[in-house]
Amino acid sequence: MHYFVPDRPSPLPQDSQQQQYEGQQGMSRTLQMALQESREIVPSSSGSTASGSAQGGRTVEDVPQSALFPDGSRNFADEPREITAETKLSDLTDAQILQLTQELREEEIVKRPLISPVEPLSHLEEEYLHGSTTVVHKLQWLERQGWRGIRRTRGDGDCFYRSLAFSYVERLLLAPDPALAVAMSLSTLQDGRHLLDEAGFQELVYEDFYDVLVSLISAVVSPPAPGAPLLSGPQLLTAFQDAETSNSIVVYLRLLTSAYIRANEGDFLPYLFSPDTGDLLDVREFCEREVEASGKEADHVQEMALAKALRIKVRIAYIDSNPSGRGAEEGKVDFVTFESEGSADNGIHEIALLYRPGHFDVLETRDRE
Amino acid sequence: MDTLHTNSMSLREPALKSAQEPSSNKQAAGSVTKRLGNELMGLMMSSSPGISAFPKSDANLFDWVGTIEGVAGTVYEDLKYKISIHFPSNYPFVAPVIRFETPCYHPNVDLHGNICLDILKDKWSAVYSVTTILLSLQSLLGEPNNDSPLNTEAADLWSNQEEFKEQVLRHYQPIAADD
Repeated sequence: MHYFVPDRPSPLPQDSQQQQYEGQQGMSRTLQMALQESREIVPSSSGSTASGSAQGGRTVEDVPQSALFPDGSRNFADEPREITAETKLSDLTDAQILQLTQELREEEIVKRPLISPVEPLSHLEEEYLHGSTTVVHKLQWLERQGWRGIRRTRGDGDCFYRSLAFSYVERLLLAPDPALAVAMSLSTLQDGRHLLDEAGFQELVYEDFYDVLVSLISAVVSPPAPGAPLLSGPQLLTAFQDAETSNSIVVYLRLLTSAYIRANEGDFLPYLFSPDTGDLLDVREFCEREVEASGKEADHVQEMALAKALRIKVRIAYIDSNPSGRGAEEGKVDFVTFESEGSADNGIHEIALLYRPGHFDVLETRDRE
Repeated sequence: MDTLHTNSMSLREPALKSAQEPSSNKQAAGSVTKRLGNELMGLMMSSSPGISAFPKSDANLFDWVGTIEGVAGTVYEDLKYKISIHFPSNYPFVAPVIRFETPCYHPNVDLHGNICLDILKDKWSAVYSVTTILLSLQSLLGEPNNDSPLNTEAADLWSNQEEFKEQVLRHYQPIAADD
């Protein structure tokens, strides 16, 4: 198969890719995600012996920005029949772009577990050694702050919800007083059901997803069956690697996020943009398209809503190849914190995520499982 | 394309994945069956006018046939369309595949019966069910999305409802009695 996406480590330094990417304002968000994810998979030439582009495929970076959107309009007159490495991004229809994005995702799905064991953050650093030095500095800065590990999630658009959910249940497992933390969590989730009811979700539709999450959480302190062991760390990982369990929880968190946004419309209304068009959407449209729909990436609105609905504190380290702020320590990473009422005394530690454009992973203080 | 994924990540954990997927598929099948059973029950209990669906055979819960009747006051009034519904093994996390079996002249349906409907594509969510899909299709009949047509001729003709109806009737074939 031939693709227009980079199929080899680009000779360009990561920084310049990044800037070019950010310059492509008109590009659809879906495509941006696909490109970002493909880049994230091969952050640099380190360790990768990719040589598949014998024909020296034209990469997205090679397409001059001016050719992408010359005057805000695109000429569809001679659409290519077959997409090859030579195909220009600007020649593709939205439908073709969507299809390519889906194919990219499906390929990734075959190759990466939904969520992986913790590995040292230095592994990620190695991947950027021949790419962005800014990213390497930022990762080193994180390590100096005590963030020594990363737990990767599959880049399938559900990564925010999956990373957060895993980390949430794990925090309950590691809580100083698990019984108290679990009780508070279950009570919060129970409250959340009212939000879902108010939002008009039918119990029949959501209860199966809810039950999966609640039984997993309950198993932290009470045996799932008489004589069965309590939930352990390895079992938690196995549960989240199981597509059925993992996706049920992701769906439930999407519904909870949606219900919270719907119930607190006033707080969110000015920020409900379509990432594709930049248009302001009404609450219902935003929730249906950007929150409930499978595989739709989360942005600030969703992140804040879910943190509040779960009454947790979430810190997100943003890693990109932009240099740290002027006068700041080299490699200093900005954390965005989402806090909510009750997150100080919910009995669990804050959740930390690592964000690289288009993808979330879990940030850990330990460097192995 | 494969080279895209040649990073240390996938090389480090191949065993984990292969150990994982088979069991999850098996479990998934059990829960899909439960969900589809619930949906079938829901469809039979509710009385949504003009829509119906049920499994083709008792042996296979993953392939259904359904019917949609055109809403009164639209060009599809009194016409009954047969559709096929195929559920993937990872339903409801992935949308079912739905096709018109009765030829349907419509801006968002192509000659092979493929349908362009957002909730079956990028707007799919696990909260949608066969019932919501059928109701959406029913309303799509009367309210096409002419901005993203699969049948451009039909989209262009939509503004002329009389001629449009002629085309609809010319393509239409009543569902056979033994179907």
